[in-house]
Parts: sequence; C-alpha cells; structure tokens
Amino acid sequence: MSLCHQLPNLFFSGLVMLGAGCAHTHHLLELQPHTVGPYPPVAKSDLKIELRITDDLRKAQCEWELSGETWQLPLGPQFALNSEALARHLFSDVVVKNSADAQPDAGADAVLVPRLVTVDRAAGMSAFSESKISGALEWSLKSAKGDIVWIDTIKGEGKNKTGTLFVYKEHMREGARMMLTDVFNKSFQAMSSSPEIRDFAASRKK
Amino acid sequence: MNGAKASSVRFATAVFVSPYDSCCARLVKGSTTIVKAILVGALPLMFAGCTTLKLPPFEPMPLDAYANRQTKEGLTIGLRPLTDPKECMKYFGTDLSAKRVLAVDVSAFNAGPASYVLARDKCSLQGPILAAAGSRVLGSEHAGGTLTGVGGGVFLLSPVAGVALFGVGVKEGSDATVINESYRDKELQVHTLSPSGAVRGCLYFRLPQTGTLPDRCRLHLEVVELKTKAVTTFDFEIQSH
Repeated sequence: MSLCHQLPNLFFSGLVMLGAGCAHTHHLLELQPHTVGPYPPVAKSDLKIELRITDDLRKAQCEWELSGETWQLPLGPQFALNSEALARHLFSDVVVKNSADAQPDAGADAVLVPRLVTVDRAAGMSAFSESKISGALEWSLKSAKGDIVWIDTIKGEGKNKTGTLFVYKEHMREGARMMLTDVFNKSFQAMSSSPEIRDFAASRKK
Repeated sequence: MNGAKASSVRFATAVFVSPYDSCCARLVKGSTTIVKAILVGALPLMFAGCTTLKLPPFEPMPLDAYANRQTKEGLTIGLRPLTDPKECMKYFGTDLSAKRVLAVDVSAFNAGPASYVLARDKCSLQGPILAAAGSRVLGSEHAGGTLTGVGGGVFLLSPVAGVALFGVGVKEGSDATVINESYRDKELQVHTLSPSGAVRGCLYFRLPQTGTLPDRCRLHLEVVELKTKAVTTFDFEIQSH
C-alpha cells in the first residue's frame, strides 16, 4: 500500500498530536493507602510525643506539567499515615494533633513535626526511559519548652520506567510508593540512631 | 552517489517545503535504497538526542579538597562556588550564571563531641548583592507544551517535520522536569550534625538581573550548638561569578 493511501491515517495522527499538544488537561492520580514497613524492631524511646500533622502536610501533592498536561498526585494522606505509624513505632506514647504551633499538653515531653519540603517528578522522555519522583521530609523534635532537640531533612526517591500508554499511570504510582518507602525507611534510621533523641529521652527519665 | 545526493535533496525538499500531497508522493518516488539506508542509519542519531536528560549527583569530594574551608569547635565547613558553566551544565543541566543564580556547594563534617544544627536560612551572602534564591524553579513548567501542539499542526502538512517538532516539544518538557527536580534535590536543607556526622548540599543565591557583579563576596553561615544554643559563625570570601 502506498503512502498516499495512508493519508487518512496520517491526518488522524496529526490531529491526535495536535490535540495532545494543545489540550491543557488535568490528571488526578489517586494513590491507595500505602503503609511503609514493617520497620526493624527497636526499643521505643520512653517519651510522650505530640505528633503535629498539619493541614499543609495532609494536603500536599506532587504536581508537574509535561507537554501541556498537568498531573497531580496527592501524597499528603500517605505522608500523614506513615508519619503516625513511624512515630508509634519509635515512641512509647503518641498523641496526634493538627496544629504545628499550639502549646503542648501538660505531660507531653516533646513535639514532633513532619514538614514536606519538596516533592518533584522528573519525567522520562519515552516509555522506556526512567522517571523519578523525589521527596524531602523535614522532621523537627522540640521539647515542651520549644527548644530544638533534633531536626533533620530526609530525602527519598523512587525510580522506574515511565511505561507505555497502558501502564504509565501505575508506574507513576509505583514510583511514588518507592519514594515514600525510601523516605520513611531513612527517617526510621535517622531517628532511631539519633544520639540527641536518645540523650533527651534519658534526661526525661531522671 | 550523485543519484543518492539528488534523492536526499528531493527528500528534504519534500518533507520541509512541499504541500502535503506532494510530500507523500515525492517520499514514495524519491526514496531509493541508498536514501532509505541513510535514513535508517540516521535514526539512532536522531533518537540519541531524544533520550532523557541525566543529571548526576555531586561526585564525592573530601573536605580537604575544598580550597575554601574553616574549622571551629571541631566542625569543618568547606565550600565551593559553582561558577564554571561546564560544571553547572553537568550537574544542573543549565548555566546557572546565565540565569543570574550563584550556586555554592557546601560540605560539613563534625569531628567534635557536640551536635550542631546547620540550616539554609542561617546562610547569607553579604555585600552589594542579593537574595536567597531558595527553591527557585529553573526550567519553565510550561516548556514543551507549545512545541508539541505546533508539532501536531505541522504534522498535517509534513509528517516528518511534525514528528520532529512534537519530539522536540516533549524533550523540552521532560528536560525541564529533570532540571527542576535535580536543582531542588541538590539543595542544602536543615540538618543536625551529630558527632561524626557529615552533610553536603547547595546554597542558591539570586544575583542582580542587571549591572556588573563584584568579583568576590562574603558568605556568612551560622551553626547552632544544640545543647548550649551557642552560635558559631563562619565567614568566607568567595568568587561570585
């Protein structure tokens, strides 16, 4: 068959490309609850912690634009879920609150605040090239008086193939799950091995 | 060879100039075996330019290798302004100085017994300059959108040119996301430097958009000792561009 016979197909392909380039569409990618773990067993720090999960964190999302299309991946609920799970794994008593700035309750030893610093996606050029989602979560642990006990920023990333038309959405979700797993596993390592948190817990026992 | 040359000239004319019908007809008539072979041979070269941009992390560098470094209370901080356009292209995919952004590679190691907090917002450039660039986005978030649309339109007139433009548009958009992600990923964030702890990251400063820049400026850093709240300051003279 000569190329001339393919004119309708070529014309249709052109229209599809034109549409793909010009139409500014929004895509919302829902992510099922993803709990990182199980974490290795550790002796819990004997501290009463107020975990402050703010609305900023709960509503956080990864948003990127590629070829005129906007993608949104809500990650706040996942960060909130895993922040609480990790805090309960590391500390003996955890109370969850919404505000980052309120005075801690009487009896609380410290306030733990997770804050999402960045979350970005680097999009691969083709279905077979690599895409990457990276995130940075800042943790601050302050005494009831407001003094910093420990503060750190934990970075994590998830890399995988961009994927074909049939699987690319699932690949985006998988990349996000890998990033969450990386961030919270590293957060676990950082908090469980922190001499500052260990010393603070020991000082509260005295 | 002359025949092949003539064919390829005809091919190029057909693709980029002629109206749609004429284009397809000439593609069929003008394609000799040699031209096809050339085209097939050129495909890998075309696609080589279409791969995803890769921006590596910083190569490990011992603190001793930083010409600009200071040690106080067991805490050593070394820094290095990234003013070489080639180095910026390698790590950030763009020439930061052309965008009037100064990136400073900061590395710290705590050999002392105390713990310190090193925070980005306690670092500042002093002199007739500047503002912290923070998480400033380098690549345009909208990059590539227009070109992909134009590519689609051009495809109706000339398929090969249309596909090429569409590809360039997608490439541009992909590059922008990679550049932005890398820029933010390399940024220095707040950290507790425990004993034997190390940290590395980039500080970004926005330079004035117009006018000549001073050759050197002063970078001021403050670290806070966690238990005593004592502030230790570090001041460096660095090259600004």
